[in-house]
Amino acid sequence: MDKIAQKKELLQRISAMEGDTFKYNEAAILEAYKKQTENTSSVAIKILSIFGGLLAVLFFLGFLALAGLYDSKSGLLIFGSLFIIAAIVIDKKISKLIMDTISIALYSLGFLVLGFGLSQLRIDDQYMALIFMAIALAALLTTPNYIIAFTSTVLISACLLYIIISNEAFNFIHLYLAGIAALLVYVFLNEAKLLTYNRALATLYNPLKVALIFSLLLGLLVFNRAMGMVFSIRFLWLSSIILIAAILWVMPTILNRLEVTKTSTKVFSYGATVLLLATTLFSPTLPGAFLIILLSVLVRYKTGLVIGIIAFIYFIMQFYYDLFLSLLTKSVLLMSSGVVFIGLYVFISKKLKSDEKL
Amino acid sequence: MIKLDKEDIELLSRHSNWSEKNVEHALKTTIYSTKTDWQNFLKLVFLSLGIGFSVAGIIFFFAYNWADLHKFVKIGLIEGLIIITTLIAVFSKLQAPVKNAILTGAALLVGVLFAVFGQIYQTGANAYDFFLGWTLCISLWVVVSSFAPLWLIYIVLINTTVVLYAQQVAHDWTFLFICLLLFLINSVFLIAALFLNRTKAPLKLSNWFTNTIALGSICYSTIGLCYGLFESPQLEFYILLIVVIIAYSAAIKYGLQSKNAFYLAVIPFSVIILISALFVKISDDFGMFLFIGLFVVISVTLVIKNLINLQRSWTK
Repeated sequence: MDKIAQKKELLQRISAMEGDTFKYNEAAILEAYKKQTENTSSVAIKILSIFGGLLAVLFFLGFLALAGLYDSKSGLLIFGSLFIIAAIVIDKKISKLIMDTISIALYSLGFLVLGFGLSQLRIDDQYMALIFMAIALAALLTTPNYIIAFTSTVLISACLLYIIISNEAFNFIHLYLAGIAALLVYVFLNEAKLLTYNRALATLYNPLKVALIFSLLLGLLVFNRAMGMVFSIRFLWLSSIILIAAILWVMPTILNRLEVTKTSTKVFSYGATVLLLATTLFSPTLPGAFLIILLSVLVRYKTGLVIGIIAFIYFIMQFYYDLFLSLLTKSVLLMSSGVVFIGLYVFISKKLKSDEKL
Repeated sequence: MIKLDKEDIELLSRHSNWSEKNVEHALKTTIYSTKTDWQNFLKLVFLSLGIGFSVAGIIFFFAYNWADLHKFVKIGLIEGLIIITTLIAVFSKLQAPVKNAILTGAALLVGVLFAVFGQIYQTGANAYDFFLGWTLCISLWVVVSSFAPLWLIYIVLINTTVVLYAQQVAHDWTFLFICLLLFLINSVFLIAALFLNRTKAPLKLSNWFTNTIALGSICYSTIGLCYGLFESPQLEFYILLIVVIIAYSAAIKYGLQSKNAFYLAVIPFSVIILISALFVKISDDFGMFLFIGLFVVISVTLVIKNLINLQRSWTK
């Protein structure tokens, strides 16, 4: 059966289920489905458009450089702003796949040129970061494009981190991680609320999810780097506690899905989680990556899950690499942890089998 | 229960007055992970962490004692592992993909064996020796298994051997000659793989495999030709040019025939890069850069438009 006819039937069935008060804009929905089938591009086309955009940006930069634009401060500022505005306008008016390349290229080019201009005015780096943040925020609120929304969000986080780093105010990283973790948990757990709030938020939802994951990972990586300078972060354990708290916050939802009712099981789960995660007290990267994995499994978000797993493996390797213990001690530690985990696996398998028999 | 997709829920919630509660219910019942999903997840997490940590612990234990082990023990250990894995791969009753994965592990262990050998006896040989020996020794296994990842490792090893040989021994090979050689070698493997796909169906090597080899070949040809453009004209450049023209035309024809968008995207992109390089050679004036920038945007857009139309006609 034709896809459009299929979807029409689906809509009618849902409408019948929901009752009389349910109204939907059938024309708009069918139009959106049609557009999706038209614009389904293979991976080849998407990658081609990204690389094509990059190549074009490179040549345009070269042109601007050779044309002596870099000598003119006002010229740089004007062109930079023009490019960003053009990118957003093109994106709002024309939403065909082809124009995506051009708008993304213009957007990145705009920021690069603007950056050059601002640095020539000898504005302090931090104010430049603030200006970028403001522009990215404005772009986020005006355009529905997936990639621009994603890039803008990550840009805002990167600017925040840059301000923290350049001020050497590393204690603020706890605030950053806490904020992003709270946002991440809220966004993942309240999908229905955000999807139905208004149309703008609904389109922003998907890029926001993955952008927040990347922002959290960025913050964790910065934390790791800063730890190299041991005495610049006070209350090293604070971020771990915040992230472990976030995991404990998500746990009731998970336990609900597992239909765990006995209090003893609940207590055991919380206890085991806290104990296991307490070993990572001075390294918030592990609870952070684990939080991403848990949230992704909760809403069946494959991309987030893959990113979370890769990050988790990387952070574990780094954790053990950084431990100041001899190889022998590390090997004993690893083997005993391995045994503990296998023990937990056997325990859970047995428990699930006995539950099923009941 | 109505079967809903994630995109169905997204589109519907956007264009209707679907209440938050009902959207939540729809999400929970059709999209979010179920109880069995979570149970499987927990079991998988603990099992993989358990096995991973235990194996890592064992490896670390050997690493700690490595310097003190007698050389016979070191080599014997790795050879023992190779024998065990190969025996498992050949004689056990496991499923084919698992056996192939184990055989791949054995092939990698051969490399480890040679590395340890070199370290113990301080052979100080040129690195290409090591890769050449490794490649030759696992050739039989690779041919017999017809397992795509193993073939990919094999081709990477061949490429590495050639590059290192060129760097360390054959100092009179020009850069263009190396590019031409690598392009030809990878293209031969590509053609063989595609040919096998057509004729002997059970030996089908997946798309990502052939696409990766093709990508490698096209990288070599693009880099080689770009480099050659800016050097004084050499014989190898013209040979490479002719070979590439023939190969690209054949590949485009193949792509159209087999409805594979990959070739129809990458080859035009390579051509666009080469034409841009040609423009730069003609004049590196600032006006030319603007022209090239516009040229790239327009040509990429045309290629994408073409591809979309082709894909639409294919799915009809």
